[in-house]
Amino acid sequence: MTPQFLSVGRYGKLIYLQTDRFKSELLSLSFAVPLTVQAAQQNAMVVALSRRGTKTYPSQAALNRKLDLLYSTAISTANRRMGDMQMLTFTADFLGADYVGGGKGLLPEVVSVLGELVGQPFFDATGQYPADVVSSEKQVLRDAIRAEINNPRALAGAGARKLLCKGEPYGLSLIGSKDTVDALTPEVLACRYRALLSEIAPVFSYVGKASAAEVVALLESTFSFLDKAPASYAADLHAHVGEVRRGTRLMPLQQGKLSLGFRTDIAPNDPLAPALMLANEIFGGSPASKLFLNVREKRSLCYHCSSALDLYKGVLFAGSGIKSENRAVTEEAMLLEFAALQRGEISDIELHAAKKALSNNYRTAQDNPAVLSRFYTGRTLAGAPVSLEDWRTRMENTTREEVMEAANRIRLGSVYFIEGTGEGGEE
Amino acid sequence: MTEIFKSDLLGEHYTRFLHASGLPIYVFPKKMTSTYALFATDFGAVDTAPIGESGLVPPSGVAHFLEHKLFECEDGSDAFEHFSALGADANAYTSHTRTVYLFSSTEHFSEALGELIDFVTHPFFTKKSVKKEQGIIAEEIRMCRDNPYDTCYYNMLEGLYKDHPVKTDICGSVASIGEITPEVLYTVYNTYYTPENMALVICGDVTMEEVLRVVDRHLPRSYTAGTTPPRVTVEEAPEAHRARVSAKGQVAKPIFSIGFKDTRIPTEPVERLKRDAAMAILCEMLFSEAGELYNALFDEGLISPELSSDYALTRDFAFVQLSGEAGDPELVLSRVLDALERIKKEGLSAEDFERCRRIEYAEYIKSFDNTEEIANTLLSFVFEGAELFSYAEVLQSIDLEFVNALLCEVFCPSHVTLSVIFPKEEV
Repeated sequence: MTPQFLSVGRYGKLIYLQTDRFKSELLSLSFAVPLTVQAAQQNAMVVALSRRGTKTYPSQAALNRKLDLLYSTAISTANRRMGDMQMLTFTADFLGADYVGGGKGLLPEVVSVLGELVGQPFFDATGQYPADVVSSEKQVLRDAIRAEINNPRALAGAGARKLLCKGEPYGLSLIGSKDTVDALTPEVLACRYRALLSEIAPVFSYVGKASAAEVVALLESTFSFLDKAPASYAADLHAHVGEVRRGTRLMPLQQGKLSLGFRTDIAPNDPLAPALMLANEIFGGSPASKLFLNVREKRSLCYHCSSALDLYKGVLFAGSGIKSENRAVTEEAMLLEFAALQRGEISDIELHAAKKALSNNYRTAQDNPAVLSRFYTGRTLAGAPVSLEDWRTRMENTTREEVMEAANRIRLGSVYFIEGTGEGGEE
Repeated sequence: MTEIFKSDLLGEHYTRFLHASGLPIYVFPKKMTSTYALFATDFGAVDTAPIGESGLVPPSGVAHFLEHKLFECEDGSDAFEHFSALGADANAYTSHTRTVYLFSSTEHFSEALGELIDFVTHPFFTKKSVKKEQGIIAEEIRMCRDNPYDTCYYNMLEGLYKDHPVKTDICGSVASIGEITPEVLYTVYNTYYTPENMALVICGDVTMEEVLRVVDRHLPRSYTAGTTPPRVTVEEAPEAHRARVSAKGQVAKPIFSIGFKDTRIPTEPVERLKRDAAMAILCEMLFSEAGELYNALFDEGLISPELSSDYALTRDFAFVQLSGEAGDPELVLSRVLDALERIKKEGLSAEDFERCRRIEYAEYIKSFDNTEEIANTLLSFVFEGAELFSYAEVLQSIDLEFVNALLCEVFCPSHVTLSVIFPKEEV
């Protein structure tokens, strides 16, 4: 399945993947805007408000009912980091034409509803979001900000990220702080919505059977209001220098959560990028990794111990859940594995397994419209287009020396620990 | 003899073959890049009945413990490493009623299938390795205890059930897994890991012939039927054991789980399937985001946006779960019960019924887009004694009268438990 990269209007792009492999189809709209402390929270609210009603479907219930009638079409939204940008995405997943009576199927109606969500939010007579809806969404947002403590593992990762990227957009929250929620009035948000429209250069993706001409025509006629040059993509990468930043927080939990933050200056279009991905895979990316086999299986220190890489920002986080008294020994054990990686202590079996695992992931992506859409959308927004197959081949041809070189361009930058005080209930 | 099952609606088919070893094998051909294989036993956390002459009562958590231990091979290697060398992605999970070992691969399928069969059929336990695993699983248990959603779920089950082992954590407790020895594991293994109590399910671009070539090499060509494994038989009253269960946890706002206990479980698989399908429609009608109740609760600010409902039905337990986050869960419960009583009097709307049945139809079709989902769903049907493709017909056979009757039968105020996790401190 080879994608075609097509234009939609002057600045819009369409990643078009024609296939009859699936019974459902996928259409997404993504855009990246600068991630700033002022706008991030307001952007998140604008996206949330879009789900509360549109001009034609003026309430959440009416909108959901319409989607149900379109054979349970699901439209989800996402708010993610993409380098130092905020990437906002609307994704529609709907049944293919063969199962809804044929013809053009649901695509025209899905495009129309998506167009309404983005271009025709429900405004009252004064041209603002209704005050009661804003008030309700503000409460949802306050709850979501407070609920960050419900997931201590993610909280530890966020702690390491904030320390690692202090002062950079990547260190910011995507939903902001509770201190700024009160200031979100209908006027402020409507103003943000209109400003946002002027910043959007959309990247669409479509996976399904419809012809490219049909998809482009539908998108151009529906989204003609999005006709802006894209904001410049930003992702400040640098390897960490200086002291490791440390932070600790006490929480009434049974288990301590340790997170280590690493940085590298290897960008997605750097020749060493595939080697960087392999370095992460060998370090903690799978059950065949050094962290899993040595820190968990051999030393029995924890249940989960793994690492994850964000290629778009050159950051890597390794985490583990442990008895709080094992903090020092676990940190040391994890860093020993990292040091072994940097010394090139990578067996043939490890390198082979890592390549096979990533290769399997990329091949499996062909079976999943959402994964395909996300891969190509990310690469397109970051200006580093590459086909999955080319990327996989580059990865397969990577040498041990390159993996070692990539590992040596990674530096530990932060250590964050949530110390469990053992009050989390009975065992 | 090979049996073939076909669906004209879906344009799909699968085959069943009873291998000479006594193992039933199911192959669902699907032109996808990845192939997904499941090797499962009809043995889960609820299976704690005394075993045979030994009279051994398996300690809570033993099914899950066994799942962990089978990955360790006699030569000291870890099965994960074998799969990694082949580029296959292996995993396993234990539920209340089954234990499943699995892999997905895009190449070397036959070798990976051989590995799967080998490691599951060659148990190897020593005192040392059991002790090591107790450390790892104790951390897994602590991790789950720190997860307020897990705690809320199990508290709900403890509220619903007086004696049934479904109320016990799948992982067991630190104390119960402390009772596990190699002898316990071997006894349990020999009782439940018999070919006739297991199934091999594969979905991907593969044929039954290819699968049989592998199975013939790795399993004996004959077998003697063993004794039927013991099952827990617990008579539970229709009423909930306790109407309220609450605890404090690491949450910002109270989270709740409302359970409705259902003890009228049909003996016949086809009747169970019909009840399951009808309950899926009914839960959609009552609790979906397009419905009246959800929107009333949300618009009044009584619940956060995420409200999930689910019906679980097995051979010997069934319940509805309605979960979310609310400032005052008691008030939410009272509103839910009031709404249910009103709907019982007025009857469900025929239009809503058709809308929700169409949603179920769409979800059913969409579920055939993914090898993992197909294999897991097929396995559920196999262990439930039902036929996968009959679901579409069963959906069609359900009428409004049947669903109205279920509404009155299942949603009784005396069958309810409300489980709440309150915040430990003001956030």
